[in-house]
Amino acid sequence: MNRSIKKYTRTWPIIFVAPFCICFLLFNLFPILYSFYMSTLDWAGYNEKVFVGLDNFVRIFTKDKVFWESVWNTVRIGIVGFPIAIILGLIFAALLSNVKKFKNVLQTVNFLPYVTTPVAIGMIFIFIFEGHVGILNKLIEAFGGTAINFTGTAKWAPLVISFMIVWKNTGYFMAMYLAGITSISDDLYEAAEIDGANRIQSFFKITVPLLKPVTVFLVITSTIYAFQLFDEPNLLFTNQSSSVVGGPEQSCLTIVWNFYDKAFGANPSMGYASAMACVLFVIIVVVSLIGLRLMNGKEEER
Amino acid sequence: MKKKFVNTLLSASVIAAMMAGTFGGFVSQAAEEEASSDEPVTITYWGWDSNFYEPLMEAYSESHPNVTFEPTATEWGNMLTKAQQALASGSELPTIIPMDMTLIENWKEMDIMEDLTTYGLDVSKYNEIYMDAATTDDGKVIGLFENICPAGIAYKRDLAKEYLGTDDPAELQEMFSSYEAYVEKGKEVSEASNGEVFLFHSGQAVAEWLYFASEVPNVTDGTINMTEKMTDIMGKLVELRDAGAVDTYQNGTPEANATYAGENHIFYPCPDWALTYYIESNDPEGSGNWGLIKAPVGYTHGGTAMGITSASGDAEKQVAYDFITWCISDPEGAAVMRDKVGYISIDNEYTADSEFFKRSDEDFFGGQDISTLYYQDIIGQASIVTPSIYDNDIVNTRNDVAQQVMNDPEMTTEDAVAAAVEELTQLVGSEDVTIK
Repeated sequence: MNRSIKKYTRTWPIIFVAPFCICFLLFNLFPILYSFYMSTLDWAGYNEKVFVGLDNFVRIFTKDKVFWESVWNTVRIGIVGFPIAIILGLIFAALLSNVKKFKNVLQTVNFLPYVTTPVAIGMIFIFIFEGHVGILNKLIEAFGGTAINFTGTAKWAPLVISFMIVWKNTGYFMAMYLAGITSISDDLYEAAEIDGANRIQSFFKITVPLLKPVTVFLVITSTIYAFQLFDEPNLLFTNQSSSVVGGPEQSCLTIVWNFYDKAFGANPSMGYASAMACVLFVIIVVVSLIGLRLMNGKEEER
Repeated sequence: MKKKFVNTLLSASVIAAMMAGTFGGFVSQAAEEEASSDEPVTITYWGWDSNFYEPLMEAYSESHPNVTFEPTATEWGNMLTKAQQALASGSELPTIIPMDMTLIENWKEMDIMEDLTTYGLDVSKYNEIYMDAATTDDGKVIGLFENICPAGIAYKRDLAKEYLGTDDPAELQEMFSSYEAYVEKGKEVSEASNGEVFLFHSGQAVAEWLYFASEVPNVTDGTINMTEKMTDIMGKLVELRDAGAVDTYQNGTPEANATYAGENHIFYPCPDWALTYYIESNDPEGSGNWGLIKAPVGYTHGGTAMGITSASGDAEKQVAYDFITWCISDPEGAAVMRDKVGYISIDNEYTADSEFFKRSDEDFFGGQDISTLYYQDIIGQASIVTPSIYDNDIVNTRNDVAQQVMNDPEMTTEDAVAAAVEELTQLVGSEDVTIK
């Protein structure tokens, strides 16, 4: 009898949890730890490994201007794109929650950019923003303005990437907020209405505060996503004949693109790139914790 | 008991390893015999250019039915990266890898390719400048370049006649015999067309031409000659820009490629492989409306060498070598390459044979004898940019700075050179090399 109970309380749980644990150890924890090990090496990925201790980190913190420029580029692109996408997602969700007709169609249309492949997004944005034949420039010229080289100058190129982020993610954020809104009881809105609150007041006093858990989730995941930005700028600025690492004047060189170029460029340095990945890991953890603290701080104090 | 079993297993492994070592020579010899027999062999290949490898593999398979090819389409820009990733992760490399000229020194650094001279390659049969590029400091030949790549300046006959007064190649050749002439005529064309018509569509394309035509070596004694090289390139680009001779398209983009069929750009720097890749494919209606002249300095642009990876099996290596030399040296293979791909082999026998190198697409160029121009006149005077491991970074920098020059009409040559040196220093990020 005892053996049978043991089997259910000890053996089976281990068997069920084991696949996840094994996969996690093999495909998550091991690569992370191996990256830390690689960060202490001078290694191209195919030659002999030479242990250099913390030299790679010293170089990042004392000599590598490009790394810190790539951090700044990433922050600059993310800080413009994601807040706008989150705010628009919230507004669209609030508007759509009151729509009776074509709600599903509108939801689908808004969500479509999120499921569009990055390659297609890159092409769409080239057609919109290209200096000579881009639709936006055609419009500017039609209204008597002068065409702007959006994708060819350091001034405008990061903004195009930020706009890409807004275009791609607003639908996803809207879907998350819509799910949150459906969980808010109608009683609250009815009570507010009886108390004389108008729709805008209800939105700011009921909807926004009660959606805080969704907002916290979106801010944290967006922060992580922002620091891992790679596809969008890479696809926009890479073509066979005139590839430029980091876009015009390297203004769109994000941390991950920089890491990728160091790891798999013409003269690869896997060890140094791993050190960059480790620093990125620490940055993401610290920024996420600060974000969590800031957003949940007051609640915890209470 | 357990210990005894382990000992037995270890002894068996040692004996097996010794036997493998002892009989290695026999195995290799057997593989060679196998390769020449009708035993089925599969050759794996990574390549970006299906227009090249498909017709050649098809033709080779017809006379060698035991050989099967398994090509994997790999983007041009990702070839080296993919190989690096395969090596780092311990996964398999293909039997044959095509290596771009810009990255040939980086491939040498990786030290993963077979020395083709060990298979009996007669180096003296092939164009010397390409063989030098494929040879390491210690004399290994890591690949065989597919074709010679002479480059000239292609032009649209209708626009040339309208804005330059003639579409005759000889007259235009005389008119554009120096860089200064391009500046002067560029100004005239710009004024005559109210700034609507340009000599060239892209500053990056012009910088690319000037890069390959420049006589300044990229690297000398461990120093990258960035200031000298970029002064040579950007100085001329700035003059052309100021003359209104160059438009601001970004080279290679779909919008830039659409200009081949347009009416606003007269000249396009044009290696022979670009005839099919860019001109004929982007301007299919333009047959008869194109012409070709020499650039002020004869130059070559690009090139791809096929090499065999050392990790492949012996039988596969032998067949791969046979395939590569068949493509380049065999009359049948070289003819397929000429007729189906538009490439002229680097084998001296074919480059010296004016009957052989006659291109089939001369009608597209109004019947002009572009074959003699490319494969006798230009290649006879041209050299190649001596490759270095920093070429990819230099090319990246050149592209970015050329675009900056075109975007900012106030940017001087000095500004452009300073920007190029700074950007390259950041890109290279190594203290092992001096950037001057």
